[in-house]
Amino acid sequence: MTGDFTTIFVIAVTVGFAAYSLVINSSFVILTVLATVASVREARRAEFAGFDETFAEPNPIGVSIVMPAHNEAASIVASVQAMRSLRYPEFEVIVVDDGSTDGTAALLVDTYDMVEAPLVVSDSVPVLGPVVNTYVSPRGDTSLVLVRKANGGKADALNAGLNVARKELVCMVDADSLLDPEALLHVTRPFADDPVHVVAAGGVVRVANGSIVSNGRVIKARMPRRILPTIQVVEYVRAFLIGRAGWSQAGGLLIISGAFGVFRTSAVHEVGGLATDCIGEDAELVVRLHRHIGDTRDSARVVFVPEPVAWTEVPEDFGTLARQRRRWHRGLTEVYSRHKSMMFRPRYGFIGMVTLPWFWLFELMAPVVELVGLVYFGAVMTRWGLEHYGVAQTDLVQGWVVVLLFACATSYAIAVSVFALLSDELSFGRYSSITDQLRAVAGALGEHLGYRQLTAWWRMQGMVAALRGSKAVWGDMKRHGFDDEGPTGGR
Amino acid sequence: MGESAHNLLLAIAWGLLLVFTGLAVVGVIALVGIRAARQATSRRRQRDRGAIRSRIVAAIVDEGDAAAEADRELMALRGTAWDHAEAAVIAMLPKVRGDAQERLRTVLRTRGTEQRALAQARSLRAFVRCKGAFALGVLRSTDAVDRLIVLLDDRSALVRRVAVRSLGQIGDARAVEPLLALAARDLGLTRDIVFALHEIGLSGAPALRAAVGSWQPDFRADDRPAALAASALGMIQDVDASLVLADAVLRGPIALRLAAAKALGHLDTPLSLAPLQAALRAPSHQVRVAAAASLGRLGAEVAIPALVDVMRSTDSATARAAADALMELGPAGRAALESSGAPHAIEALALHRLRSG
Repeated sequence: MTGDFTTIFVIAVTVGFAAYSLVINSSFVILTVLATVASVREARRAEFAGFDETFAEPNPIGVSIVMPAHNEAASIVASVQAMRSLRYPEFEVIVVDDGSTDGTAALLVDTYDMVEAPLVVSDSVPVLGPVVNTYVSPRGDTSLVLVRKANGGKADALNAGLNVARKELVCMVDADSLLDPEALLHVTRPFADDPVHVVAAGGVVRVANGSIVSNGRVIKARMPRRILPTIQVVEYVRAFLIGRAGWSQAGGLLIISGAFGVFRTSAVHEVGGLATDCIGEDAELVVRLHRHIGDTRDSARVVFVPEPVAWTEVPEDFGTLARQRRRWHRGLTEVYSRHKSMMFRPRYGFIGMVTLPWFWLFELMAPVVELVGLVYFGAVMTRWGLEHYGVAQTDLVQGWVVVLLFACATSYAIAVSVFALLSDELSFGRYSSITDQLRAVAGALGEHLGYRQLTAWWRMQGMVAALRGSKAVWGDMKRHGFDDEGPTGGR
Repeated sequence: MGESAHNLLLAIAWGLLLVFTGLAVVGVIALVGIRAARQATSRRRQRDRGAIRSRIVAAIVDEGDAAAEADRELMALRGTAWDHAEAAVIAMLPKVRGDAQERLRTVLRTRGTEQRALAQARSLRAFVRCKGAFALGVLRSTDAVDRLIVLLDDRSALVRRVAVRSLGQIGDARAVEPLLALAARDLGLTRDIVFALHEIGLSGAPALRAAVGSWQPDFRADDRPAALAASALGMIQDVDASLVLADAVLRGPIALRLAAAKALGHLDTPLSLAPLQAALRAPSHQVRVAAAASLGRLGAEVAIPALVDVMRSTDSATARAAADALMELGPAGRAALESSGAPHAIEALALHRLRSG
């Protein structure tokens, strides 16, 4: 009797894990379809978008690009150079040096002949680290501003940038990101199309490792040679081209990446700027905007544009990757701690009723489920082995069923990743060689051979750290920087 | 657990494993196959279109007999060569200027492109309707205005967008009212409608003025035709609109006041100054900022006291706009900034010194 019960329990738990995997991957299939429709539509629209005419408009929407920088000496000049050469009629670049100790500010001052200027820094968004001084470059047509401030974290640096920003839109971009030359033209388009409603727009972030960079621009997209960044390429394609484009198409975009997002400046001021006590400040800002929209019964919208691209360098060593993933998941946990009351509240619309619950179950809790599942799988396999060799005689475990269901979950996840890559190829075709596509497929396979399990462990550590309320550590990220005319990182 | 239930579970698991693995394999084959096909297509296109492109470039850059010869060569193309050439000319025409633009239009019209585009504009496929509407705009086909106005009600947003832009390129004033009507019901085409109204120019001004004058007290933020019309009047610099815009900037709803404040800055007439100075005290900071910027653009020295006063505003954006406007007003404005001592005045002067070397 006990044996029967245990056998049924083992099978029920196994089927439960398999069902979880089935639902999460099936929801990604739906998102893939939605994202592919959106991306193909965007690609077609671009043919008739008339971006060239944007330059002839007498009243273009001005954009302040705010780049927070903390010890970014390796890549800051290339990033600023890329920002200044963007195709857009009216914008300024504001670099906020958040107490760097590696000479980031001095490098900028020297490179661009910057001069200290008494710019008025408003106090409409409170900042932790006071602004020390402000510099302006007399060179070039585009305004370049450097704000030096005491260290207060990335969100604090962005808030200081907001207090200096002069334009109608503010583009928040990581200092280690490179934007495609037309990225601003694409991502500001929804604000011009629907100025009454659009308050925020996010773009795609792609992996720069392995690509050819010249003058601060990615001139040829290539897959990294190493497996670790290649796996992250697959992750980014799934997260941005499928996840965000799909959610946006469904009307429930929750996150705009801090690596590249554009906001209506007045909307960010209205909600009080970025939260300095939350490590996932980018996600928290967008969720707070959604909360504000719901609370004020506003009809404002947050949108995702599949084409504008920011390129970022991803970690190539396990230590940096671990810190990044702990930080990301800690941020997500903090966002949920603050905004859990939005879940299942009709006033927050699709976000409250669908997106937030989905993210809670399949993003926030995913590492817990994956790790418990892994431990459970190990225990069942051990027991099965013992039965097989006659050490235990209870015949409790249906080993093949467990193995097959585990294989099903893995193969489904691989199929979803392959279809994400296929969607990317159909929509944008950024990677022009078959070798690159095969490398990406290798990344989709390699993700399941230890990488996924490790990241689940790190993510759970981040979650535990957030729940315990331990001190958040940003941690420096090892970067190779963007080499001119050479492959970036991941060689 | 019964044997049969166990076998059923095993069969389901095997089935799912085969399906998912099969899907992954099919996906990989499709990924590689599509990439290979695209590479081959790209190479073939480069080969086929290289020669045609050079003929088109010759037709654009050459002059006199050489240009006429290039036109004749284009006219002589047949079959797929002409199809490629026609598509390339239509794509390039918006970027071509001067004499070459009209010559290439003549080539297209002579080869029947206009009739084909009108037929495409009636196609059941949205993308084909887009291509047709786009070609009609490029050809500046006045005969197609009615058809394009019909397309403003198309079920596809992309077709509506292309029709709006094409009506702008054709520049026929008959399109103004339908475009404003579209602005009221399609919130995603603001920029395109403004572009089209700008392109239509002064011939559309009477209808635009009427739209600005027709705002109602129960104006909602989404009722945007009046605000768009005001923006367009500024862009086309319709001096006759100053009175109707002055009324709008003082009494209209916020979206209209904002558009009117910006528009008045483009009208070189003294009638703009008094309403703009009054708008410096508007409740909306956006309207105040726009009014200050417009006064600066108009070089209105008479507004210096009002701008100095606004520069003391607690709202940083308004104060900065006033300081920037004073800087635009030349020596008198700079003198006012120097005597002010306000933080934004110091900032504006420092930036001016920096940029003027």
